[in-house]
Amino acid sequence: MDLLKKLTFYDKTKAGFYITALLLTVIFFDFEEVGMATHTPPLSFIIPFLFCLVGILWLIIDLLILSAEKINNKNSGSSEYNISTHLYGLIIPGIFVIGIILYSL
Amino acid sequence: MIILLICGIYLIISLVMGIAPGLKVTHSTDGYVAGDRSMNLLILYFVIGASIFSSFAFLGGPGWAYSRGAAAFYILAYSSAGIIPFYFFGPKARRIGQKYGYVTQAELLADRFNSKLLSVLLSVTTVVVLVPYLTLQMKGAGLVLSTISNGAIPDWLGAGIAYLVVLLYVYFSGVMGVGWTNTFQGIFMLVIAWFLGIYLPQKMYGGIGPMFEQLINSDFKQALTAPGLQSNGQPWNWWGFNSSVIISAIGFTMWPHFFMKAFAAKSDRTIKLTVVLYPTFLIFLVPILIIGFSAVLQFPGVTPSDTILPHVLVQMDLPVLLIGLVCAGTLAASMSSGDAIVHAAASIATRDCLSKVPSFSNWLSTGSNERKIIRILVVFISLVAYYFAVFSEKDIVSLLLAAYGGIAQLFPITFAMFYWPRANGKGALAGLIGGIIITLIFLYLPDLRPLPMHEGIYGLIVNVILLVGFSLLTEPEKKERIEKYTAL
Repeated sequence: MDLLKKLTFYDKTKAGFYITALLLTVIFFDFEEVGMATHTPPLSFIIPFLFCLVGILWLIIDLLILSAEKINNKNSGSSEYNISTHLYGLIIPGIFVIGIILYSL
Repeated sequence: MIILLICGIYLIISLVMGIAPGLKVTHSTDGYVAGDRSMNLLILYFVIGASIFSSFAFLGGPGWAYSRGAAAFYILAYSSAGIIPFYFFGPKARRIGQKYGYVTQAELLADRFNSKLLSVLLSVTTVVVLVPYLTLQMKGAGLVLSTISNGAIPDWLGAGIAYLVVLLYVYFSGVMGVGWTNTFQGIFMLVIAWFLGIYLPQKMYGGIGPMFEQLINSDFKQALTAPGLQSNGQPWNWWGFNSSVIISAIGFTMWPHFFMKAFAAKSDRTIKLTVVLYPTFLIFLVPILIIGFSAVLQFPGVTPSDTILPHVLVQMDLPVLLIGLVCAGTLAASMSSGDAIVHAAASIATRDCLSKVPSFSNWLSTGSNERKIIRILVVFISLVAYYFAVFSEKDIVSLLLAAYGGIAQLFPITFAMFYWPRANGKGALAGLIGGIIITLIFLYLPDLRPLPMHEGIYGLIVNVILLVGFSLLTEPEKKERIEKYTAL
C-alpha cells in the first residue's frame, strides 16, 4: 500500500499500460494461429510487439525526463519508478515476442 | 528440413561468434562503438566488405544482370573507385578520433565546423536513411527463408529469426560482435557466390564461355552491349551510366556505418592496407553477376527480377545441401549489413543527437549511461525497422534511392574538413542543405533535369557552390580549431 501511495498518476498510467499489454496478449493468444504459413503475423505476436515498440520509446522519453530532473535537482519522488516500471513491464511482452518466434519454428 | 537445419547451424555459429568478442572489450562507449580502436586488417577488411555487400548484392546483383545486362557492371566500376577517398580520409579521421575521443563521423564534422546544428542534422538524416536500409535487409532475409521453405517459414518469421540473432550479438558485443560475425559471414558469402557462379553455368550451358556464346546469339545481345539497359528495358545512355558511377563512388565511403570503421581501426596502416586490398573483395561480385546471366535464357520473364536467385534455386533440381548453403549465404549477406547498420544508427543517434540535449549530455557522461542508451536504441531501431519490414506498406525503396544521392552530399564537407581551411560552419550547413534539397527536387521531378544525369550530381554542383560561396562571404573558423585538422 505504501508503494501505491508513492506512485504518481504518471506512474500508475504506465503500470496500466503494461497491464493492458499483458491482458491483451493473453486474451488474443492463440496457439493454432502461431506458425501458420501466412504473410501476416498472428495477433499474439503483433500485440506484444507493438507494446514493446511503444514501451521502449516511452522508456527513452522517461530517461530524458529523469536526466533533466537530476540536473535541476528536482525530485518528484517517482523517478526511480519511471525506469523500473518500464523494465519490469517490458519483460512479459518481450518474452512473448521472442517465445512466439522460437515456438513457430 | 535439411535446408532449415543448415540455416539454423549458420545462425547459431553467427550468434556464438558475435557474442564471444564482447567479453574481451571494455565496458566503455569506446569499447562498444569503436571496439577500443583495436580492429586489425583481417576484421576491418571483412567488416567493410561484408557490410557494404548486403542482401541487395546477393539478390539485386543477379537481378540487375538478369534484367539489365551490362548495366550491372556499373556496380563493379563504382565500388572499385569509391573506396579510394578512404585511403586519405580514413587515417586522418582515425588519428583525430583517437586524440579527442570521437567515434562518429558527425562528431568530427560538428567539431571542425563548430556547429551543433550540423551534428543534429547529420544524425537525424543518418537515422532516417539507415532505417529503410535496415528494413530492406530484413525483407531480404524474410524473402529468402520464405521462398526456400515454400512458405512454411513466412516472411515475418524469417526476418524475425535472423534479426533476433543480430539483435542479440549487437546488443552484447557492439562493433566487435559486428566485426567477427562479418568476417565469418564474408568468407561464407565468398565461397557460396563462387561455387554458384561456376556451378550454375556449368550445369545449364556446359560452362561460362558457352553461356555467353549463347547469350550473344540471342535477343539478349543488346543488353550485353555497354552500357546495358534501363529498368524499363530501353537502352541506357552514357550520361546516366557514368553519372551513376560517379555519384555512387563519391557516396560510397560517406555511408556512416562505413566511415565510422575508421575510428575502430588499429592503425593508419590497417586502413591503408584495407583500401589497397579491398578490390579483391569485389571479385565476389563477378560470380554474383554470372548467376544472373545464367538465368536469362533458362528462366525468361521472371518478375520482379530481384527474385531470380531464389527462383533458380527452387526451379532447378539442385541438391538440398546446396540450397541450404545458398540460403544461409543470402542470410549472411543480409545480416552482415544489418548488424553494422543498426549499430551505427544507434551510436549516431546517441552521440550526435541525444547528447546535444543539454541536461541529457551530463547524465550520459556519468557511468555507463551512454552505453546503456545506445543498447536501448539498438533494440528500438531494430523494432522500428522490423515494423516497416512486416507491417507497413510504405514505399521505402524510393526513400532509399533518395538516400544514395543524399549521402553523397557529405563528400564536399568531408573533403573541406581536411583540405580546405577556409571552409566554415555556415558554408558547410548551406552546402549540405542546398545539396540535399536539389537532389530531392530532381529525384521527384526528373523531367526538370537539363541532362539525363543522376540527381545527386546536380545536388553536388549546388552543394560545392554554396559551400565555397558562403565560406568566403562569412567569417573563417578560429585558427586553432582548423589546425588540428589541417596539420595531420
